[in-house]
Amino acid sequence: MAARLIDRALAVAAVLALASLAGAESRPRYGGSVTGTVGGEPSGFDPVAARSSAEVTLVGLVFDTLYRTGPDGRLATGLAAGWPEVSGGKSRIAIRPGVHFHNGAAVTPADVAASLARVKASATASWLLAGVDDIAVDGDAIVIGTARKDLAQILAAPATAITLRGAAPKASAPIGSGPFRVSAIKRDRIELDAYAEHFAGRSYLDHVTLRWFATGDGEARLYETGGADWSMRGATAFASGAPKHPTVQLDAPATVTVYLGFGTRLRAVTDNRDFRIALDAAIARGGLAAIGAGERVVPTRDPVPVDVGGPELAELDRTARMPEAQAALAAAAAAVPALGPAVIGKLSLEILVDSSRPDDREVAERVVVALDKLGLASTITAVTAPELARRLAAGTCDLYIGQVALAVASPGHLFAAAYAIGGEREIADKLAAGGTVDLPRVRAAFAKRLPIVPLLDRGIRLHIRRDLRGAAFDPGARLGIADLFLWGH
Amino acid sequence: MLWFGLAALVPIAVAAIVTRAVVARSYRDEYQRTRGAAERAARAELERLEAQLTATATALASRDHPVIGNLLQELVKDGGELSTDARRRLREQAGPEMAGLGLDVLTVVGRGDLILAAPHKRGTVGDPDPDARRLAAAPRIVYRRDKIMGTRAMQSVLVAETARVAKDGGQSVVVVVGRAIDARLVESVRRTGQIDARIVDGAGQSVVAPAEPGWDRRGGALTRIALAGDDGQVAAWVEVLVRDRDLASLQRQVTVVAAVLAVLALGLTMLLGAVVARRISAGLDRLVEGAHAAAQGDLAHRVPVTSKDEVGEVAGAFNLMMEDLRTAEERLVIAERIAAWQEIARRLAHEIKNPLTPIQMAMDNLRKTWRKQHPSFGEILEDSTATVLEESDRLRRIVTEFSDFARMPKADRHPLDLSEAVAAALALYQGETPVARQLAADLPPMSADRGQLTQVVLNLVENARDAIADKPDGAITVTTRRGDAGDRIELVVEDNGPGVSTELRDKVFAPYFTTKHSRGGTGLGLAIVHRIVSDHGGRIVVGAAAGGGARFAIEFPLEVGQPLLASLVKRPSPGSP
Repeated sequence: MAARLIDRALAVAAVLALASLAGAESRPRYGGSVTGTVGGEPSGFDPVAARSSAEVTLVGLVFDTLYRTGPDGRLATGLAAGWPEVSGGKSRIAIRPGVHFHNGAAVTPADVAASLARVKASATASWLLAGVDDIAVDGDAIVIGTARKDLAQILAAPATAITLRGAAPKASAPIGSGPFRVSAIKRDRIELDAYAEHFAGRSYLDHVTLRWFATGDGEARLYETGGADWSMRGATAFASGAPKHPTVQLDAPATVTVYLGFGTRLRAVTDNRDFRIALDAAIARGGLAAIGAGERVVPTRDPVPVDVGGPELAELDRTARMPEAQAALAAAAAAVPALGPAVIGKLSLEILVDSSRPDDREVAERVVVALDKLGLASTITAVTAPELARRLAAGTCDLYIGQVALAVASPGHLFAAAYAIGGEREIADKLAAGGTVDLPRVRAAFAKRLPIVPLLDRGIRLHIRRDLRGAAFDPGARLGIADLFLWGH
Repeated sequence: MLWFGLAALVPIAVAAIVTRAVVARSYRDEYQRTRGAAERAARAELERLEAQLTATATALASRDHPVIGNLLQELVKDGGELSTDARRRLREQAGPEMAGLGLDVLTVVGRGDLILAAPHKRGTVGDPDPDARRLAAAPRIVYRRDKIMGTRAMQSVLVAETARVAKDGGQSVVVVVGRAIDARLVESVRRTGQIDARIVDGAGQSVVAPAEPGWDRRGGALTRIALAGDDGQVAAWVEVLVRDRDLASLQRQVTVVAAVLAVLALGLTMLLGAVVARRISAGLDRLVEGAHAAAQGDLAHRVPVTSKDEVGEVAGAFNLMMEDLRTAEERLVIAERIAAWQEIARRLAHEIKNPLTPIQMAMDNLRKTWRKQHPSFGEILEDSTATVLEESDRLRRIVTEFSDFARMPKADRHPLDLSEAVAAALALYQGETPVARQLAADLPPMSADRGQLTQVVLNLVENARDAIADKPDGAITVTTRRGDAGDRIELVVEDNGPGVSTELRDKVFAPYFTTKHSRGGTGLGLAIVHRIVSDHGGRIVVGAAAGGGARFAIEFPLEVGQPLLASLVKRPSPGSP
């Protein structure tokens, strides 16, 4: 009997002990240092200029916006203390009190107003605040001269992140109020430390290293051998290989648009709309679906990704439409002598690609083939992301392969973003100012004007070790790194 | 000497020509062999390439191949469609497969002739490739221009391609494999400096440039191997150029070597010739010098014999000749001396005998008359003693002249003007004998003994005076002048007397020869003249004057010791005896 009781007591104790252990493993733990990737090298930390997936991800880690889009697509408040209060054609947004930048300075309504004013003044992101008359500080709030209903959605865009005194952050030591602060910037990585004073609470992880690679399999190789805790380009680099850690897979929607952009070095050629139409028609997009490392890739001709309501690529557009391309080229040649049949062979265009995004190189090769079909020679030059940005700004670029992450999931805004990237600010502002957008008309106009040539929308396939949990993507395919935590450590 | 040099050139030229011909023939044979070998090597390389491609295409287009087999299984599984993941796997596998097989072109074409994979030109994936199935229909190697993505840009390259159809379960794909035609194809054919190769396409555009510059400027035979395109036309040519510049170069080298040898030989011959000529001429110079010495009577002169060649032999012979001459001269001198002494003895005896006879007769007559106590003894004694005394005086005079001739002093030479000396000598005859003077005023000075020269003039004029003694219109002309050759001075004494007959002209200079016994001539006057003239290096000849008289012409050399090689004494007129 006693023995039976003892046995029962031991059994109960064992169950309780196991339950205790299980309870301990089921709670996220703070601490730990992880290494991961962001799909490429950021060209900088300025939210206004953030365009690629890597850039908007990094901006989201270092800076805060007034509102945030959660993984489920729902908006939540960020630095804003509440939702915009619309009154008299103006929107009043209270600023969350007690929030501080990484340097200890308080985040004030003045910082917010200055940051938004800089957005409105910028060439690349002003469309976000199109139709906004003025931005003023009103006590602990700011007042924005607009009554548009999608203001909170717009103010969740990474470009509207709040910077210290509204100034462009220093590239070498950016200061934000986000969940991580930059501790080191190196040639192939950025070191981030958890910001304990973040208004949403300290992130679980103490330290995060974000890396990028110039080779297609560099990231997978590192993950496979245990050097990284997640990978966005496959879990293994070697045939029949297996990653060091048990791995789970997570897919993000294809909302990062890869496009062909136009520089200004040979403006007469690349600004010619017929030339752009010819090039667009000569690009066979069908094969683009196979690029990448398993993530969702959707060839497209539209700035609105399929995953947020954009059109499927027409079967006709999977291959080159050469008759249309030749006709457009002939029209272009009428205006640009350098594109004439007798001299076009002398022309050579340079295509810049970001060396940290290996797939862009393959995309560029497709452009090379298209140009070759048109009789144009071209070369591909791989440069770093900062160098690409510098050359774009300096006007020493003919064509480039760019990437734009979803900022606002509104078709009008997406078209506006495309026009803004193409330098057509007025059209961008007009499309983003609000009101009803006649999408077929806008789409037709876009196809004729082509500020950029959308090529594909890509998602992310995340391979992450099983014990690193909390991973989730927002609709813009941004990985919520701040919510990651190590399980069982 | 030049001829010797030219003679040396002939064998060299012949050797060069023969060598050139032999070299050319050998080279051409070797050249043909090399050319054939180069062409065979190029064809072998092409065959090897085509065999490799064929084998690779056959191996790839098989359902057993891991990549193509899996692809076919995917197609079978999905009813001819290919999922994105399957496309991605194919894309990921195709690149390493192409690299692993050493291919430059690998295209996998699926349904609708759409390209499923093309790692050499990834930008074309999804595009149609209408040529692939046509190429696979006739599985052979074709050559055509294709574009391959390079590091930065698309490159147009000539490729050798072949295609095969892979089938499984009713599904099929076309596999096109190819290799870029580049320098690797012709590297094994090339030989630096001898064989070069290039590849040009059908339009003449360079595909593989020659390894060495100056293709068009090089000589040689061009072998062209056609590379057929998919339409059966020539898509490209492999051109192998075997240089024959080597032959020309070789021949030039032979010529240059021959020319250098010729120049060297010519130079050497000239040098040797110069040395030999110098040696010979030196010997000849010494012989000439010896001849001059001999001409001047220096029979003791000898030519040094410095070599054993012909010149040395001639020098030796010359020396022997001089020795013979000297011996002969000595013998002749001895003989002449003996003859002279005999003549002198005969003359002396004759001269002495002539007075002795009257003396003997006077003494006999005196003895006879003394014995008979001839009454006229006193008168006879007077006559006889007078005769004896006269003849004794004659004997004494003969002895004195003989003694004077024998003791003639050696000439004491000093520079003098012959005309002036002759004029001074002739001054002794002023008013006695008409002597015409034709004395040159601009004679160069000559070295002579003035007294002896005066003796010559006086003896000749005295001789002429005797010759014209019986002619009321007798005339004597004395002439001095410079010889035509400029190397001598002439003194001519002529008269219009009876002259000297031809028979006597060789004897008039002999001592004691005289035709004037009646006038008391001793026959030593002209001998003394001859002796003095000879002592002065001159010579004297007797001839006929223009008026039929005697003409004595003397030549004196301007330089003492200078031989008078030819007689320049002019005859007064043609037809004279």
